[in-house]
Amino acid sequence: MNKNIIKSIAPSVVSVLAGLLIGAVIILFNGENPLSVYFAMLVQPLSSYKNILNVLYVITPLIMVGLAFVVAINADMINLGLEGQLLLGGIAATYVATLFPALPWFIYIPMIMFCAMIVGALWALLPGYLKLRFGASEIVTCIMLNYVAQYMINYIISGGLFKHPDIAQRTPYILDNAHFPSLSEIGMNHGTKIFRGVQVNPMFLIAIVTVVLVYILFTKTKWGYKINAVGLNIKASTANRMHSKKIMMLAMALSGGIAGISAMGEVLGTFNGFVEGFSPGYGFSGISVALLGRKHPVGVVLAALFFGLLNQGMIYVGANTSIPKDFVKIIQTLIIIFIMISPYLEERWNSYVKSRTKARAGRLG
Amino acid sequence: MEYLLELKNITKRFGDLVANDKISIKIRKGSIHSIVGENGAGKSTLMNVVYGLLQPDDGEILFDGKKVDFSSPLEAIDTGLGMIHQHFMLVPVMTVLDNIIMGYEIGSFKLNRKKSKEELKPFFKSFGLSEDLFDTKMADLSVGIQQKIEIIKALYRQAELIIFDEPTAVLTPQEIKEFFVLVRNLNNNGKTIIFISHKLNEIMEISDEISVMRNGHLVGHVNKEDVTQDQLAKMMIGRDLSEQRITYVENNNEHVMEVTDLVTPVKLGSVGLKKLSFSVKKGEIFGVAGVTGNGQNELVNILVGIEKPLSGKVVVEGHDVTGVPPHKRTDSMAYIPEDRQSEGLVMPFTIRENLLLGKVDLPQFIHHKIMLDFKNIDENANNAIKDYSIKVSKGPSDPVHSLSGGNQQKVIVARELSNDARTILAVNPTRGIDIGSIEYIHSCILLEREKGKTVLLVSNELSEIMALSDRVGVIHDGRIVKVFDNTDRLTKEEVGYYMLGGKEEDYAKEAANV
Repeated sequence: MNKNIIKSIAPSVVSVLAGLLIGAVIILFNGENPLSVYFAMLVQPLSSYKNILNVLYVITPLIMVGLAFVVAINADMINLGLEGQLLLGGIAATYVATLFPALPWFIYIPMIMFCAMIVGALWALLPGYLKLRFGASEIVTCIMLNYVAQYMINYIISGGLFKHPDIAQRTPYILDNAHFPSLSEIGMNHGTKIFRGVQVNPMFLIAIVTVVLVYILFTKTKWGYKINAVGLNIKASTANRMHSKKIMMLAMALSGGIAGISAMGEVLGTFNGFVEGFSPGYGFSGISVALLGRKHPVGVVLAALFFGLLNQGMIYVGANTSIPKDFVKIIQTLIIIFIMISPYLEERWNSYVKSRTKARAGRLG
Repeated sequence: MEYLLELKNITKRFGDLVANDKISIKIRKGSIHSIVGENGAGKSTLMNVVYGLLQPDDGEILFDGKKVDFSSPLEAIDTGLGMIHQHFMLVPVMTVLDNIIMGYEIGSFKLNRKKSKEELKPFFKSFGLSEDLFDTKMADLSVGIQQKIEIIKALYRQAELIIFDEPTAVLTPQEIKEFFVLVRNLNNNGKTIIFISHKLNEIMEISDEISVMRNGHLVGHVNKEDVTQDQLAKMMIGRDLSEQRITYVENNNEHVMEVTDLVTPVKLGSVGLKKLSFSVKKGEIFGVAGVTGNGQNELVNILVGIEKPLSGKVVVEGHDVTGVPPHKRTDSMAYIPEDRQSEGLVMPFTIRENLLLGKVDLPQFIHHKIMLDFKNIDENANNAIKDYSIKVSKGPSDPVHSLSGGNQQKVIVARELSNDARTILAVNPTRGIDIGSIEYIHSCILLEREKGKTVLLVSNELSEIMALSDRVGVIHDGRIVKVFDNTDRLTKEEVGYYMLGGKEEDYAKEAANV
């Protein structure tokens, strides 16, 4: 394998192993066998083809928000507002998906997703603008805007935009021609029950296409080049006649746009509308995914796979071991802590290797 | 113990590049030892190894006869080393006193500044500095004084061996003279000095012994008495140095760059511009000479378009570009910035990506409207590497941070000069790089003038201005106070006099007295 690839994934692999190792100690203190816990956590979610397909369902939003974070961070913008962008994109999609019963799905669904992207992008442009115009830290404004988004949605659902007297905490159902059928439904429609209970839907394919597009954007196009240049050295980019602020706004808009459609699999698929609290904080998981994935599109997929696996594993840990299922969250947190301190560990490791080789050379000489 | 510092077979590699190849140097106690070499010769790397900033891959260091292994500058300082970096390690917003005692504060909880002051008084006295300076902010002091504070800092930490890294780069001719007196005093008081420079006349003036480096190797060690400046230059670059002096081009009256009455506010650490005006004629090299901090930064920022003046006007190639941000500029001005790492290059990028900066929209690098054309981009990079003899380890995909300072500078020069620019703004284009690269970049600038391009050269290096310019404008206190034709009769002293704020009417008197 290429030396550079090893070098770039090593911190993630080491962080995962270190997280699992410390997790094992915690398990031992609780009088349980780490191997059986990890078996429940990492292997049982993959124990059948249905389970495997459901892991793909779980990772779909994680991949999307991970990519969204990567796009912004490459322009040196820390988009912590993914959650708000995702929620507002979801509510916008839901609204549009209740309007036009006569449109064919292949026009209607792209249209819905486009609207969700626009809303997510606009919501991300707000902190972008506040930073570039007034110098307000996007970290703070993004987090604050998450709350604003949340309360806006509470208002919208409880009567602002939708009238739904029956069930309080959700919108009405979306139209059939706006629905993402799950693999289970598709199977049923074709008279087979082999996919019964499999929730993965076409949004997964859209996520994979997005991965490829983001990869191409940053490695093969001039816009990706510009975003990288501005993100790495805004002064040099500006001096070389780039419109740095515009490029940063573009990256923010793109990031928000991707975040805006992150939850389409849930909104247009599983829930057929917007259910309050449906997101377990996908927006924040996106940050973890992007960091563990070393800010690379392919890395994001791998990291999302791992976190998705852990999320599914929670159920089995809770059911089959004496360890509570929330233990999985401890593991996730440990891994993120390790990935955050990995630059320091990397440096220590390099100097250790150097002193070892020096000592060996000394002995031989 | 005859030698204070002994380096034995020091080897330092960066990837495939060998920056120091088995360097052995002995520094005699109480001597002034110069280390000279071209940009990229490995001088700075070697000193960083000595000072504990870098760890050698091989070899050993003896200090006062004992083997030492510094893992950080802290240990080096405790052992008795001091280093005066080219870019001072000072905190501008803190006072002089706080800067000096930083890390060596007296008092277990409450800072005992009074005692520190008492301890420092003798130092200040011997340097001829007033005690009032203790409470002055660092940013309010001239570069020459800041350097003295750096030296006091090293002495206060009881340095026996003081390393000066290109110490004169930031000083005026007058300040340099003062600096040399100071170094001699230190030396007479028993301090051992390592002096790193590429300025041969200074080396010949100050050194006892000279070590010459080239391409990561030690190519010679001589006593000052046994060598001439020309021999030294030859050792350094491996060939003869061509002397250059410009012939003044004939007058023409087409002004390609006109700067009229620029005014900027006075800010901390800068004098601001006070109705600064000058104009550059087509096809000439116009040098702006001056002591750092007399308005050069503001002038350059306005010319580039990243700062707006309060009033005044800048016209380049017939376009009014006053306050026009860079991305909206319609003129063709190329820009070689002063600080290559922060303004000229994207350090984590590769060579070919850096060569693309500002050119990514050009049709030859793009296909299908937005896709990068890597074949042409690579070809462009390979040509630049060849045309500007950039020393690389693999090729266009080398990260630019793996190059030496001089080669990084060549990347910028290659990028900017291969534009179809009709005007060029070069700001300290050879700062901190070695003779070979300096000579090379100078020849590039001259070649551009041969092609009929117009160059505005802003430099702190008076000899650079004198060597290249057709006309010299002197900037002082936010104004161009004097413009000379650069004839053979013009002397450094005359220009230097105006740089320090001398008045026209006084110059004749002054000259008569000498």
